[in-house]
Amino acid sequence: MTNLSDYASSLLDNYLESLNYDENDSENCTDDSDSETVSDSKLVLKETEDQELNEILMYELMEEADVSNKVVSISQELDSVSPIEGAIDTNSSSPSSDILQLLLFEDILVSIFKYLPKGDLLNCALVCKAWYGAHKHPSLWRYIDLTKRTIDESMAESVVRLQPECLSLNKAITSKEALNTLISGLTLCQELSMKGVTALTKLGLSSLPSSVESLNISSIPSLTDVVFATMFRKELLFDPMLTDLDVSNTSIGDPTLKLIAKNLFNLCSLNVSGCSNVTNAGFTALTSSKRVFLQELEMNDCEGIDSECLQVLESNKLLKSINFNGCPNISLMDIKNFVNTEKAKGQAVWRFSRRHLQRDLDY
Amino acid sequence: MATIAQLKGWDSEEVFNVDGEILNQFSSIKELFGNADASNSEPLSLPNVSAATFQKVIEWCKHHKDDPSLPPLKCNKAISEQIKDVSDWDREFLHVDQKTLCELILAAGYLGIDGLFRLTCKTVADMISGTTSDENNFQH
Repeated sequence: MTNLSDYASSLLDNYLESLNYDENDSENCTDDSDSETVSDSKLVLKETEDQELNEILMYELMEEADVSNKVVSISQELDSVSPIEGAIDTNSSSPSSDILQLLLFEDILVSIFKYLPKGDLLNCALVCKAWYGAHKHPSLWRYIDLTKRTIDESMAESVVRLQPECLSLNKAITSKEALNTLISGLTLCQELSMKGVTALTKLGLSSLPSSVESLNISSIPSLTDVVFATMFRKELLFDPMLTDLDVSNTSIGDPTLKLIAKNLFNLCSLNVSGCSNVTNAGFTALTSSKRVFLQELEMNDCEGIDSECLQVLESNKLLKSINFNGCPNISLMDIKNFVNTEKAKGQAVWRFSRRHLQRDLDY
Repeated sequence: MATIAQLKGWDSEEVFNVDGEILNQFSSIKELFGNADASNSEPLSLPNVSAATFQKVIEWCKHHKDDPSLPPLKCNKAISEQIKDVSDWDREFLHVDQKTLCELILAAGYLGIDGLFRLTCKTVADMISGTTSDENNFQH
């Protein structure tokens, strides 16, 4: 570790050195003025750390309680570095120090930071200005995981500022207002997972960003057809982008399937597992729509469907796989009959294993 | 295999003969060279890579010449889940001082060697994380 620390302090020196030049372009840097300007840049660094303290999201994301202690210790360490700085010849411009300075370039820092867990990333933001700048790079914040966190208004605003492409709010505890701030602000979000977010029932789905391609609103028992219908309350200017929808373990029923058939023309994958209100009629509506072509369907533990449903679904030639574990009204006999009849018709061949039907596309 | 490029670091006159298999891994500069034998042409100096580093880079490329191309990193999962474990050979290879590691990152980035670039960046990231109060270690 000592190697690393030596290296880090030399990095810091180089960095301070470069700051020194940046801030004093107009001045002639003599050796005497150097020491002063170094301490100036120190002050700047400390100010950055203070701003850091105000970044609420930072500390809500960081679970460690001793953040403030850490900041203090880091700033002390920065102080302790200063005697070494004095000893270093600031005018040295050997190629090796150039190379070390290159490591402070944002693109390389960002490439390294990509591999860090978010908590470590936030620690890194406290090291120096260049690292602070790099940690804010949008590419590092494309994916934000707020699973099981409590989200308030200010945190929602911080997340909106980062504009993630992929956001996980599974089981997050939040108010209707905060959730509204969050969802309506996400203009770039492609994947949104809100498993078990009960506040969604009160808010509805009308503020959902149109960029979302994959939506998970499963495990919300209070989510009904009425709530789902709010998704289409607005005038739709163009087809929703949604390709993946997970509404498993909710109270939705056939009206939702009809809405999907009428509106979600890009949908490829649907999960309605555990929705006991779904019946054959809903799937009839879904397959009779000439614009929705599902490729994957999961309907595990659906009490409302029986073997007729398979016949209905067969008419959708793009459907590749159906999962129906634990459907009490589909017997093994029904499935065997279905597979054999389809085989006899000489059309697609369905493979059946472990309550999972898969269409053999190579046939 | 025939030499199709002659390269040298910025800090010495030592010339490295690079064959097609290795040159193909330098995605940013491979287009500069044709397929012809270039053993008699003027060596090209790489402005951002020292001779010692280039030696290491070639060593890595020789070992990894049969690797399949890397899948692009997806944004919807934590990056750490998408990276394979570092092999023993790579760990041994990267058992170098910080300065060399740094130069390797820059060289890999400059030459466009995706695998080496990811590997070295991940190694530095692992150094940064590691302990809970990482900066403390980093700065002492």
